Amino acid sequence: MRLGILFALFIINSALCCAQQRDSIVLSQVTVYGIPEDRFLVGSSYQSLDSTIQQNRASQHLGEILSIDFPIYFRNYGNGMSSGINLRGTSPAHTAVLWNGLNINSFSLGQADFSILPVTATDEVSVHSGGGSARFGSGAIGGTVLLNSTFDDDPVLDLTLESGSFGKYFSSIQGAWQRKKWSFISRAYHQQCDNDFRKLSNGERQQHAAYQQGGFLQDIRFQIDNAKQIEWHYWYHKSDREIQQNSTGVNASDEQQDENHRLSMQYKSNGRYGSLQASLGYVHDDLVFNGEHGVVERFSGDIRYQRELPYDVFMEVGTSLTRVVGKLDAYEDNITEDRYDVYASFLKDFSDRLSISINLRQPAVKGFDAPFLPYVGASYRVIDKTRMQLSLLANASRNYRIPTLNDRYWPRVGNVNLLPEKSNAAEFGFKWQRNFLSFQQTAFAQVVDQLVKWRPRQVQGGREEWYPENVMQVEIKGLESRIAWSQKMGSSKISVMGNYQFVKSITSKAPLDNAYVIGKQLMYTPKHIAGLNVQLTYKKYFLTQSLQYNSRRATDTADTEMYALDPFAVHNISVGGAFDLGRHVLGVTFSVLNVHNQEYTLYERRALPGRHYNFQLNYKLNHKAE
Amino acid sequence: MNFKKFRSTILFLSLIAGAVAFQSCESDDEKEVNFESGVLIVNEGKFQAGTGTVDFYNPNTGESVLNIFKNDEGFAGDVLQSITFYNDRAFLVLNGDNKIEVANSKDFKSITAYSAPILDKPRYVQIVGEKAYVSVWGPYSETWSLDNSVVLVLNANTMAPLDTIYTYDGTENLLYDGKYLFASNNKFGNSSIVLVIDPTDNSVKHELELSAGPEGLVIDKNNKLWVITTGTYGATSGKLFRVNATTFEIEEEITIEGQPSGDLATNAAKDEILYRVGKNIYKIAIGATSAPAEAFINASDVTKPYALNVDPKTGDIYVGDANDNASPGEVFIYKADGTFKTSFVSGISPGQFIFR
Repeated sequence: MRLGILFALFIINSALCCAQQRDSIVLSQVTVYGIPEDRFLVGSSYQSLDSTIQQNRASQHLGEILSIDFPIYFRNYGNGMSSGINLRGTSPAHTAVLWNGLNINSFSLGQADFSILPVTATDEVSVHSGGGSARFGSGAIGGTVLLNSTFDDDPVLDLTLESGSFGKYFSSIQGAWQRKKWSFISRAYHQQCDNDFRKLSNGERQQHAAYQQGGFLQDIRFQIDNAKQIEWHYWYHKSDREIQQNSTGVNASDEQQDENHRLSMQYKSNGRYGSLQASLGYVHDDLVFNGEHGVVERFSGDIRYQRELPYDVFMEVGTSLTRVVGKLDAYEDNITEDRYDVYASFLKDFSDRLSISINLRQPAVKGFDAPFLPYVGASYRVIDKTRMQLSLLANASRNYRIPTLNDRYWPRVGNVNLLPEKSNAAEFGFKWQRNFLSFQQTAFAQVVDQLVKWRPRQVQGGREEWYPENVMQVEIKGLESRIAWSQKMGSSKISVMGNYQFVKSITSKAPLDNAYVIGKQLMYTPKHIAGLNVQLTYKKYFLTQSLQYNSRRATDTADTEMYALDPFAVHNISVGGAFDLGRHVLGVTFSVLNVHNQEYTLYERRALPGRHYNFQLNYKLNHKAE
Repeated sequence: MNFKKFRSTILFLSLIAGAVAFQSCESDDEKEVNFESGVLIVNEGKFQAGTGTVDFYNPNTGESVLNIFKNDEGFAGDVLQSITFYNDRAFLVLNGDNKIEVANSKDFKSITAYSAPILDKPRYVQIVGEKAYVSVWGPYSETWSLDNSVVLVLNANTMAPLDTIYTYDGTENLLYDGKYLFASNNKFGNSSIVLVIDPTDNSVKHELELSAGPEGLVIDKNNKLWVITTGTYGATSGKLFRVNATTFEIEEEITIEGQPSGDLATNAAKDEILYRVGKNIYKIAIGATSAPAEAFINASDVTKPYALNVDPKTGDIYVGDANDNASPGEVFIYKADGTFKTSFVSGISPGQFIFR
């Protein structure tokens, strides 16, 4: 009975108990307030990437790493090649990627290419699963990946060198220092790979797949006084790659270069009447395919104000403006458009047990009436004892995605009046924790409507022309589980993390001439994803193992068995140790990847390597003990 | 934590991995089927997915067998453009994989494969004696046009290259009428030439200039050559030409309303020519001087018409439906009188029918 009432009230937890501790970030002498992003998303699944995975796999890209810790499928077009995310059964364009609050998805293609997001370039990676447009704007339908820089000045110096199979070399250096009111963190990275692995299908060497990438990041913070600060974050990334030749060895000559400048500046101020944050952002993306440039720039400004209202309600209100400038060789003219958002968020902890948040956003975009985007979430702690907690979580949201620049402005057929894709989403679940064991279970459902599909139409004279239209609808239903357990015994520790997702992502509406896709699972969307990570540490040594499983994936729109990619499981092992001498710490990690030589692909005909190796040397100079 | 626990954990993980890995190595039984008499459906497959397939249809029983030729990946390859028979061999021309798979024509078991740098985007094969003439688009130019197309001459028994004939670009269909080899150069509607090649010395005997975009070629019962031209991009009309195959004189030039596809076929008696504009299939007598106003068949159930041919034994008209080019297609069969007969599922993007 009690449970029923709680559900009716849209109740739920704080799986966010750890987040609450971060409500204020305490720096050496100053305090900068601000409620962390995840606190406003009460009742959601919000999880940070395991930092050991991040450390041990420094040279890999996020499309290779996130799938270790989360039940997420990535469609990688080969080893080190373009990588699109499938979060909670949605397509790659349905996940928003935010870097220090700035959306960095490609505006021309819609999706973010995770292969040009190296793990080493970011301090904190978090994943918000499920609808979050009310907080994160366009594209946050399947979820949001948040990349944030921190001003951790420890270690002072961090040097990583890696060498791996098929001519892979990676190096990165990071330095942090603080001087009076200034904090600086600089880092640079570079990697190259011949990528001529032996294909398991035929024993031949992979041709035309070499790549290299490098980048530079600079974070600066100036503490004006106890209550005011300015932050700058700048990220330059450049990658150059041969597009991996397909598995049959047809002469390939395609090449792609990416160049990205990203700048985020934030001014934060706290006062008696609340805190203010003003941000400016600039992103310059240039994707060069066989010499053809696609430049998209965005300028954004955001101002938000947070304060506590009577009755202990936390409120945030804000507005943002984004100017998008598209300079693509494929378009006849450059295009410029402005997008506005106003938003408000409210959070209230009714007791130690019950929290409710409401987020509201109203965008304005040229060409259509943008939908109003609410998010309502709640958490309720049913059992709250020292040794055991049980919390219920629930949320419901409306989300949207602005069609891509290609959809809107492609010569002749682009249509600025295309409607946005929009979704209604809901989820509920619980989190149970007892001592060192925790279990989280979520059921989610979402209907994504007005999906844009490029379709052929007969134009004058019987010729066919492809154009975008809002015609599809997808119904997504799924379950997500996460279990974590850790145990310390003397100088050893074991921690086990398992995750599993079942998702049915089914086309529910399609035009009459496409009706055969109705009822079929979306392409490249496994119904079952499972992962298991085991970390064992003994004194200064560690052994980590990860196992990932994906069920079959359709490669045709009608989910036909004969064309589907086979299920696979990949097993990786890393061993290593960290040896310290005063402030100096030397880390050594040796990894065996795809231990069982599993032959698999994430996208048809794009081979991935069998068993391969990676050796990492890491040196850290820690801060002087105070 | 003791070592035993360590070891058992590793063992446990390895077991799971092994079990899952093992699961994906099943073999499927293949029935012995003879494909010597019936209809072959040549499916391009999903672009770049390597899922081009060959299907076999028995018109007597109405049964079909999907995917009768399998390479290492279980299909014929990427963009299976066409198939041509030579004695007991079938040449499967893979436009995307730049390859010709050679199969046994009875059971479609793989015999060998031919690929070479010059075999860049091959289209069709025509056999003349013991020689295989292959139309090849060649590499794309900087502007995604074609400027280096050839007809490659191979020894049909050994696949050894014998000669290269340079053509007007975008060489498409090949047709041998017993004396000359005709090669249509479409080049996305930017060529108007059908080359006449003398296969005795591989010389170009004549350049037949028609209108923009020659593609489909057929011979009627009077041994006249028919050529359909599709016009350039966005054209609102095409043309049908009837050509004297020995003097190369254009005997008839018929304008088609609307832009036709490159498909061209004859009926069983070879006294009528069939062509297609969108979903409309038209039939024209070989003595006609103008195009019919009314369509013979309106294939309104076909989502995306992709191929057209006529069974020379029964006169049945076959239409391939590619749907969205990314899911299994369909074959629609109409009787010789134009009434619907049956339809069945095929591979992805059925683009050619061969009657044996």
